[in-house]
Amino acid sequence: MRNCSHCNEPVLVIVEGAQDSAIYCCQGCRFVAEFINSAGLEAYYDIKEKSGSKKGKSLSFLSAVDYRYLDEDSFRQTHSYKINETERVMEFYLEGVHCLACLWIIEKAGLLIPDVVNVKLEMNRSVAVVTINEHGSFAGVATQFQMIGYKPHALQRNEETHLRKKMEERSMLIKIGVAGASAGNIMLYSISIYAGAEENFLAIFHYLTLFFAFPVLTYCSSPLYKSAWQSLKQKTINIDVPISLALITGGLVGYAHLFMGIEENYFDSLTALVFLLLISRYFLMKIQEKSLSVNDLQFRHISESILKADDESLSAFTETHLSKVIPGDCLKVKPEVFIPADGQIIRGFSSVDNSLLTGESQAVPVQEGDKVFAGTQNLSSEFIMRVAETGDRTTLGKMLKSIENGWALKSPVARLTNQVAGWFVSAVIVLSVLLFIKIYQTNGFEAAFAGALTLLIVTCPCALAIATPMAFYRSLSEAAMNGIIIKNDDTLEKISKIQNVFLDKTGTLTYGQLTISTFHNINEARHNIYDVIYNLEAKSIHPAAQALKNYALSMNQNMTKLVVHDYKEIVGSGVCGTIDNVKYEIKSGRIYQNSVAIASFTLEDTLRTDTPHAVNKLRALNVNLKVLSGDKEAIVAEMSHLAGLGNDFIAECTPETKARLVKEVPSSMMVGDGANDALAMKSADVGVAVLGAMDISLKASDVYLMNPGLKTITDLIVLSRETMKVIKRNFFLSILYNSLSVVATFMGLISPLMAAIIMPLSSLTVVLSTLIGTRALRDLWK
Amino acid sequence: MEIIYFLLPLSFFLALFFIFGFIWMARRGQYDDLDTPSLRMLLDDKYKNEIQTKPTPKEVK
Repeated sequence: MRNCSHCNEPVLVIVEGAQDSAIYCCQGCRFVAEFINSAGLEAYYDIKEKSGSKKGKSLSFLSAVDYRYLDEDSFRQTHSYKINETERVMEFYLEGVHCLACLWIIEKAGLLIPDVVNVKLEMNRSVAVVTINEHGSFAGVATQFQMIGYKPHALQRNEETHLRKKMEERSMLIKIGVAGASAGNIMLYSISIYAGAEENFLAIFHYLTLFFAFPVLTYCSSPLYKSAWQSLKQKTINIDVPISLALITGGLVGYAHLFMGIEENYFDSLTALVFLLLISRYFLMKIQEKSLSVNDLQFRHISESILKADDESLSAFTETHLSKVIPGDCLKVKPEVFIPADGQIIRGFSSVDNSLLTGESQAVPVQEGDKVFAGTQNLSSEFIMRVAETGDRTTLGKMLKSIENGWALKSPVARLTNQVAGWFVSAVIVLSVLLFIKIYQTNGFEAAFAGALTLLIVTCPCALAIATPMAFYRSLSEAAMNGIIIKNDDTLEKISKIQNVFLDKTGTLTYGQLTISTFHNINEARHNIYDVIYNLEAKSIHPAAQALKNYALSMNQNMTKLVVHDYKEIVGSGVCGTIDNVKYEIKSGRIYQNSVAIASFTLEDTLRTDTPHAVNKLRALNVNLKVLSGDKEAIVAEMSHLAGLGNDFIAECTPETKARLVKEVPSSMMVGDGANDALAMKSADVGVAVLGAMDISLKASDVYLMNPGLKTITDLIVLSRETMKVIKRNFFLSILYNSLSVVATFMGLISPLMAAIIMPLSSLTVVLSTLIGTRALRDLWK
Repeated sequence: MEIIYFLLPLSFFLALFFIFGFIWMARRGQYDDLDTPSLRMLLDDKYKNEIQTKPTPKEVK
């Protein structure tokens, strides 16, 4: 099997390009590739090959999007910001960014557009920061991105949000830097002190230590103090409370010693503590960033331009943006476009795809007076509607809001960590006080304080605090780089507990592309039969039409354009039309000319080559597999047997049946098409979407796979289980360290200095444990 | 060991210099994106030609 010259996916039906020897898997790839070549950007393929990147197919080309709304003043105000007198910046999230070649072509192609000052891609966020001057157009750049195959989504960044985010992160980095530098310097001086410095030098070293410690204990520790204060105000104790206690008392005692002339302080331990704690908070912050911000993607697919009627006469329509539409407005909705708001049809009729809301995959015919809903897709013809509700108040909006509220819950492991930290910390404070009293009775204040401080430092649950977020962070980002987009860490944990996986047939077991498997020419047609097929199916977006068109293209290079009269598409059945007074119909696997069958064909979806192997692997992981498909029994049975699943399938399911079956079983995962299996995916514990547009899919599902195929599901399950193993191991290690050190402190074996060394050791161990992962994880990322 | 009287202030100011240097760089956005520049380096010269990519717009705060 040959591979597509653009995306490297195996090609089932050959789409030939203008250049010889170039073949493509679909029109989308062909279009993008030819554009790339014509714009002089062919180096893209060279770079891709050299960097050895794996490409995930993510070209969702329904129709070219009109980006003119990006340049409207109202849109610019909420989505862009000025950086100086003449330049303005807008940030776009780009779908499908994953390698060096993407980086090159996105920046290069962007700069080709006139009046673009700068295009900078930030790979970790998949965000392109575009700067234009006053004559420039964001629409032009967005269109360019789409043409090279990376669908852009404008992010909501105006002056405030942009600055705020940047400043937060920079401020954190600065605190870490200052803490680290100070801690390092203090340790250098401390070594001299412990090594036995004399009179003058001792004093100087001490003063230097005091100097460096000050910014760390005040400026750098401020987030810790704030968090501890917040927690105390709510009458709870979080992990920052004992630490703040240690820092404040240790600091005060240290400075007090300065005035009392006693040359003993704990700044070396304290500053090292602060440094490590800040680093663990930084990881936590990074995690929020990595988990895809669904807020950014909300309603993106509907923010394409909308045609609003100028007045009640409905004679003229202007392009505008969703934010400007209010109830009562009249909108013209064209075919293949997503309906932007809830409302009622006032003129025209069509059929719509309600799957996002109801899970129904059958096209529903609608006419004047019928209600239509935001988020559903208009299929066959254009109509005019009057808006009843927009945004959050539409059915879809309300549904999203309720799902979003569900996300506020943190993952069970994170919650457990907080609980443990809670009583652990209270225990620590009590123990420190007890220790202080005990030692004070025999050895006096100094020794008592030293002991208590040691205890506070050494029991710092800093390793605990790092353990979970770091493991999640690593897994989420590695997954994202391999084309698995997981919404949050909570999902990863749920996946590790999955016992039952339900698979949709199309797109997961198979390639998802219908192809012609047999074609018989029974009689001669008046016109070239391939021309007839191609022209007749030109307007239909049904998958069967696509298959027929591809087939016709592959059999007939020079397609003639024929004029079709009386074109009619019977949704789900077929098409018919008249060419030069000859009536042609294509339906039910046959082509008719003037009601006489002249050809017959069958459509089939091919099994992916990696499916049987993946099925075995999944079985080995103790996961139950079942295929749920809406297709006919015979077809599903055949695919199921070929895949090695035997009789584990249920055919002819409606979306409602699928949802019911999924709900009946514990720990379930539903793998399917983003839009059509929405209902089942929501009913399952974990919903995984393959195929379909990313932003739509992510609304109903928890995971989006850029590389379809069963192997990715296997990888996902292995990933989650291994991550949980690493977390458990980290937990164990940190508790071990803490317990042993508490015992040692009570036995008087440890000084504050040793505590300061042991504590980072425990953190380091946890970090190493996460980086090393498990053998299975390492195999996964090779 | 009188040399220490000289070395100490020296190391002290050196430390301060680097700390302020770090703060200055962080505020100018040098640490905002640590992944992309490392990839950018891998591009062969022939792919870069005339069009130079400039750093992110400088908003300093």
